[in-house]
Amino acid sequence: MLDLPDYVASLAQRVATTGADVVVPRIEYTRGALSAQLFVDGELPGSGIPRTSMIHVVERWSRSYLDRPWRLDEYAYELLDHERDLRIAFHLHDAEWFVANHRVVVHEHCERPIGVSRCQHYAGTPIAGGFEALDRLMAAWVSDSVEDCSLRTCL
Amino acid sequence: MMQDNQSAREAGQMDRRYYTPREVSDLLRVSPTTVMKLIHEGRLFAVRVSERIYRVPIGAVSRLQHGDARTYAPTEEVVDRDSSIGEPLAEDEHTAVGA
Repeated sequence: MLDLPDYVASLAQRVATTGADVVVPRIEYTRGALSAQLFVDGELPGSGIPRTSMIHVVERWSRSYLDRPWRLDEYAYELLDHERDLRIAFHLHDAEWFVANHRVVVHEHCERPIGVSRCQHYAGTPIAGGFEALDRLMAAWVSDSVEDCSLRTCL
Repeated sequence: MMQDNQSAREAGQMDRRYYTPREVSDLLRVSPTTVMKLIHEGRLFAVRVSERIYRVPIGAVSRLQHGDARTYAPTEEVVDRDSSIGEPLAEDEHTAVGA
């Protein structure tokens, strides 16, 4: 059964192997420890000009009873690449609303420049968890070219 | 050179942020096999671009070289709020939920 603190520590360690400086990760429990949100943030190496680029991981987990396994309910994985002025985010939240309105469970964001998007939500693919998300975000980070958001499918 | 960089940026081409495993092996003075072993063991971060192509972020090599003895145990706390982690949906979008 998944141990949430161990999972968070492993994920933060993995973020650190990219060369990022990891801010102390944290877990916030609610509803009598039946729900939890975890936060892992990494500052990517670079000049810091204009600003330090960041990777953000936020996940929301829940369980039906204290002795039952955790289940990943929502996530928000994000790359803020200030050097390239690019934001990429993979989201799973408000699933019922997105299914009702767009017939999708997950969506993505793509902004270049950051804060400017021609589309509020882009089609995305489900992500199994923070490790896979990190791989995808870092793939964008090491890409030879800056992602062209206009090539994505707008919901 | 400045013009070249500007042209490259306009074309979406940027300074390279990664090493190839071969370059890492040269830098670390180890064999390519050792580099791949480090990658597969998770000690050296790499992005798998295709079946046989990996990219190692430059920072990942520095991290490996300098080591990292830190542990990343999370802080844990109980909080009152319990809300969705997503961005606020537009008012008209919320309206559509009940429609």
